[in-house]
Amino acid sequence: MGYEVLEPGVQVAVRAALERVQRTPASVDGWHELALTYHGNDLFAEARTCYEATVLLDPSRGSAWYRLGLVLAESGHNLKAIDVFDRARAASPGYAPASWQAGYILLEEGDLPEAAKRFELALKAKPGDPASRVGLARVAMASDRPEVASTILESLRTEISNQYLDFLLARAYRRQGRVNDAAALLAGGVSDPPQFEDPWIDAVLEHGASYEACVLAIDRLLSKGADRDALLASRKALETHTDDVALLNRVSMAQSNLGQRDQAIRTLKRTLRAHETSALTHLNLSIQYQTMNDLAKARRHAERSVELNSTIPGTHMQLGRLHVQNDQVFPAAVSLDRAFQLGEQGTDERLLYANVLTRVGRFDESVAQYDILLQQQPDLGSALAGLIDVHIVRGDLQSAAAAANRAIANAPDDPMVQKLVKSLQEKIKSSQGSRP
Amino acid sequence: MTRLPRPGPALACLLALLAGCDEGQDPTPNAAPAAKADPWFKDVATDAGVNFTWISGHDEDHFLPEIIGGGVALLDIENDGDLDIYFIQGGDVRTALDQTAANTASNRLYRNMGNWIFEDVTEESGAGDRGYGQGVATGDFDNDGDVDLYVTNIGPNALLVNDGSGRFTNTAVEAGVAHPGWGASTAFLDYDADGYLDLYVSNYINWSPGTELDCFSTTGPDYCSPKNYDSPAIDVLYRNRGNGTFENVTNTSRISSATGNGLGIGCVDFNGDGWTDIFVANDGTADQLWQNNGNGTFTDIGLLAGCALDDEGKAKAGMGVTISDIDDDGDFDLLVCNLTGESDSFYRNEGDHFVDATATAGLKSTSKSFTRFGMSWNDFNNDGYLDLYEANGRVLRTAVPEGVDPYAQENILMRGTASGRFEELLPRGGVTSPRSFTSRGAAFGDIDADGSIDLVIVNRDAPAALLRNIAPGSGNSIAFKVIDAQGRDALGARLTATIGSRKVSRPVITGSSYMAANGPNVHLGLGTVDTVDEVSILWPDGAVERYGPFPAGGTRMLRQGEGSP
Repeated sequence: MGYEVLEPGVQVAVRAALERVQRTPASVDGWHELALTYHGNDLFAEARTCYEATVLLDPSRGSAWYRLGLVLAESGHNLKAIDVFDRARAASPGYAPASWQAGYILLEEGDLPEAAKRFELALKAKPGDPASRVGLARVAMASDRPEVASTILESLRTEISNQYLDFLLARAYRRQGRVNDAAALLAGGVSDPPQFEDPWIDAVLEHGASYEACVLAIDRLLSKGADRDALLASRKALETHTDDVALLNRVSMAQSNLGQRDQAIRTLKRTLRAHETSALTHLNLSIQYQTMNDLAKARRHAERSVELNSTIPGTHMQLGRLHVQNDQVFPAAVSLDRAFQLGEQGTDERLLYANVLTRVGRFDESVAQYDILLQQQPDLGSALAGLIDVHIVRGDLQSAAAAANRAIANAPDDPMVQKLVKSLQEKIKSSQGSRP
Repeated sequence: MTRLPRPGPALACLLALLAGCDEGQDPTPNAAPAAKADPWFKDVATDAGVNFTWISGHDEDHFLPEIIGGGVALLDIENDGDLDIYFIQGGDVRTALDQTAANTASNRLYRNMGNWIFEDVTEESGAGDRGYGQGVATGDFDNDGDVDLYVTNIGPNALLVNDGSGRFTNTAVEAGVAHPGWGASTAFLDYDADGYLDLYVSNYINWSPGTELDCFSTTGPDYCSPKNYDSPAIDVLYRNRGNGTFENVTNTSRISSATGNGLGIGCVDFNGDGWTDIFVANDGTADQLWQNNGNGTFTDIGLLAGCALDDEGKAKAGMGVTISDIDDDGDFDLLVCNLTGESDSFYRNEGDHFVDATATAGLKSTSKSFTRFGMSWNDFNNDGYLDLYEANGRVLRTAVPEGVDPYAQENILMRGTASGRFEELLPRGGVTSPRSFTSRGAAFGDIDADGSIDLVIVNRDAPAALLRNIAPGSGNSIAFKVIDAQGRDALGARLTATIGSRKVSRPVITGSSYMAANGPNVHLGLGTVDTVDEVSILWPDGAVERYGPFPAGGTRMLRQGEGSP
């Protein structure tokens, strides 16, 4: 491999680590550091060589064996990886991931009994370990024993709240014919599997020196609420990638999350000085101004973001929201139409859209939007209430009554449903009272 | 630019000094469990006169469509009994949405002249659409007895109507199907069972050259992930009015109630209720299974049915799709291929839901090392068990290319076995001298009507491959051309054959793989069995007819109305 193909940041990191090894070739730490640098930047072949050097120099270094296993697995050498993870376990018997990583690879290979053994070993190293219990549940699923999987997952869910666990349990229930139980678990949506606790992998990720790795690292910090660290990391990355639009937007996001709204706006303005045509920056600035209740500026930037990139549903959605806030329902409908033509699918967004459609008199379309929401979530009170509302507004009290019955059956305690039902009752009463 | 020292040799020397290690020594003894076999395929493209290259148009900037397309179809354009080839072309994506700018490249049609000789008949056929092409569907949508084409582009799609002699006219605008989005895979299907083929178009993302983003991989500027654009598109469903035009029923059918970065599709009746359902593989968003409610509407039941995500719970980069009855239980199973680092997802159909059987089928570890696109389950060696071919190529540059193309990867061939497990065959891809390209669309069919399945593969900025099946020791086989009451390939029908003690089911389907249309005939490998005792067809209108017995060999025509009830 020629280094000229690598990003400058990666070149610098590799060069520094390589020079250290060349200065002190007998240093195990130097080799390990070089391996981590390669590994953190997806240079698996080079990382493998350096991890192998590390474990030759120090066979007791479990973390190096473990990371060698990861690199082998990444490179498609599953059987070798299993062997190496076993060496990692021998060197560091208390490190549960060394066992469960092997378990997951054996699961991939379809060797279910051996996979189960590794997960059990991990549980011995760390009783209650979630990664190992999920692994055992997946072995049970793959062995056509969904009832065993559901027992494991039900127990795990009493300790950890996670949508992936809900998803797996739903699959186990579905396979047992418990369709409604499965549907209930899936109603909340699905998220990616959790990152199980694994400090030895975290160290690898921290060695990512590419631009992409920096951005991913910042996003990881933002997603776990470490806004101050995200801010620091973004600023550090900006030293290399000056005025980078993605990094500056992340700085502003971190500032906003930390309550530093003025600074967030200043950052976004600075971004626009360098990147006036960044639609997403205009959108973010619009959102910030909206939060500060400066609706004129919010609207100006929303309009500019639409002008610059009309393919992002979020830009149209933001403009639509601002129109609604200004009570301009017809322009709002136009913006929201476009957002949904482009594929906007959010539940809150669809509720807003349906409501706007009602207000502009497009009743059938409004009903269609509520129907979509209720198909996905039959007990969604706000949609059930909206459905009553649309029929009341169009003056079809019979349909409104039918919608009210449906709402009472599915979401009797929802305050919006109760309010709309009461309003409907009054309308029906007054219409009966006005009869001759 | 400064060139840094290459690390390999330097490290090896240092290692030798430090520990006396043997260069290249492997600390672990295990080898990859691949079986060696004589080649199953030979690339005959050059000799056959097929010299097509999918032009990405890549220059300095990275425009996403350059790494996504393109497709290919195997179809019989003039009903002479052999399969012709229709290639979708890229070109210059910057001109894709500019109707005034001429794309210099066009799709190409190669007529099969027999004996593995093809002739480029693009100009006289009128099939040379000049959009920046992605995918293709084949089907006789106007019930006039010849196969028509639908082509997805970046920008308006094309409907190429066949006049019966292999000459085509683009009527997309008049027919109401010139959708301007980024169309990917597409397929004809009769979702309302009215005897006319309707049309499904998967759309990838909302995109234009002006909205392209700057993205990076480890090696510097590169193509973006679809997730970067945060603008998954709505697919489109067109209902055939029966008069040469279509009605866009995307909203009323509720297909618009979900979005995804749509790529591969497959349309069959998954739950056996008599209505054709639609599976969509999405890139980075959950896959969809649109259950046909039988009343003109669809519901996405993918998540609850267990085929939106596999047990890993992650929305993978769904690309190619293949569908067949892999376990002989009479319903259709699904295989979706994904990105490097993400295994295939094999969904075994249990009637009303799917089970992730990827690991137990041996499909996880081999597939993970490649980014797969065109694919198919087919019995390539006619031993009676479906094999798997996957055409591969990266979407991000590697720092260590396998040749001059930093996106190139080898293709893979996996042999199906009686145990239900697949094992990779070497040499890789089943060819004598594996070559790496950035492969995308792949179409499968018996091009020379010799009873074995051949294939054609589109490569990005490199010559397409035309792989003639030369599998040694091949078993018996038989093919069926299944013709419905309208006189066309009965897309959506299910063929069930009794072969010895086994009952195997196969869909009549052309639109699967990746942006491709396969040959329409149903091919069955028979192994050593020399007779198919009975064939039953479940027609798209719900009727069932029985045919046979049939001795092995050749292609049999099964016409609706000519079987016994």
